Amino acid sequence: MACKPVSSTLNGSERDGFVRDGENLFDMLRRGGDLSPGYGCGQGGCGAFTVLVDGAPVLACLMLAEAVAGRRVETAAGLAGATLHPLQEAFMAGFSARCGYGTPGMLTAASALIDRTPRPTREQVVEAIGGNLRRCTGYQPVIAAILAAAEGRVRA
Amino acid sequence: MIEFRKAFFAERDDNLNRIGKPTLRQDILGHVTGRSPFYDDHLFAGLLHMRCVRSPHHHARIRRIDTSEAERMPGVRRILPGRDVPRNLDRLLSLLDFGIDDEPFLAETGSPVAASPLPR
Repeated sequence: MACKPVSSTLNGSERDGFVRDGENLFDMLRRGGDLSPGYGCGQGGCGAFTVLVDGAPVLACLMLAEAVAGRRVETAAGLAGATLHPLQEAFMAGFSARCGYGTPGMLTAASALIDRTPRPTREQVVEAIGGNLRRCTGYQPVIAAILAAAEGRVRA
Repeated sequence: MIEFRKAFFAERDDNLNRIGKPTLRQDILGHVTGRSPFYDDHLFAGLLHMRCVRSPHHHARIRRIDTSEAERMPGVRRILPGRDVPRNLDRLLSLLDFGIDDEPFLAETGSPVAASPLPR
């Protein structure tokens, strides 16, 4: 099977690697050991594998790995720096995760929203996480946590 | 790479003085940082993949099964016919609901996934 060299930035660090023909971003990240986003339907329907590519939320199961060459990929594992991201704090305090499987996808989708719109309305939050299915937590604690994180956020 | 759940429970405090006070789930840090392991994150040494083959006909009686081609496939460790599956309810294979008459066979294929974590 043909392989192609692909260099990209994953959570702030440069990654040089090879991707197989037709490999999607999900497989590439898993092979690289980033297990943070969950594998849901594999068809783009659930949003469990939402990652950020150049700051925009994309569904890694539908994106070809070689399409991220030279681009910046961020997963939920990279949200926290020295301290937790405000969204992560809000999700913890707000009981916004139950089984936790879809939480990384929710966090990346929400962080893209807050980067773009620091003070989103409830409707904007609902729309931003509209592609993320949850089966156990429900959506209300998630929406509340995203709004709380946005309101408490101080833009540097 | 995979942190088992007990790692998050290391700081567990069981002295019940939290009643009436807000508290955090003990596994929440792993959930929000994406470190919580889920079922398909576990890649054990010697892990095999299994493919179940079921009868294409409802209520058909199985007379014989030709497994010769499956046996020749590279990486196949064992072909397990339904009649060899124990009927004990505490066996995983029994939970797949393989009976003696109504299900043909179970092919255990694939080579163990050792070092590199392969996506399913």
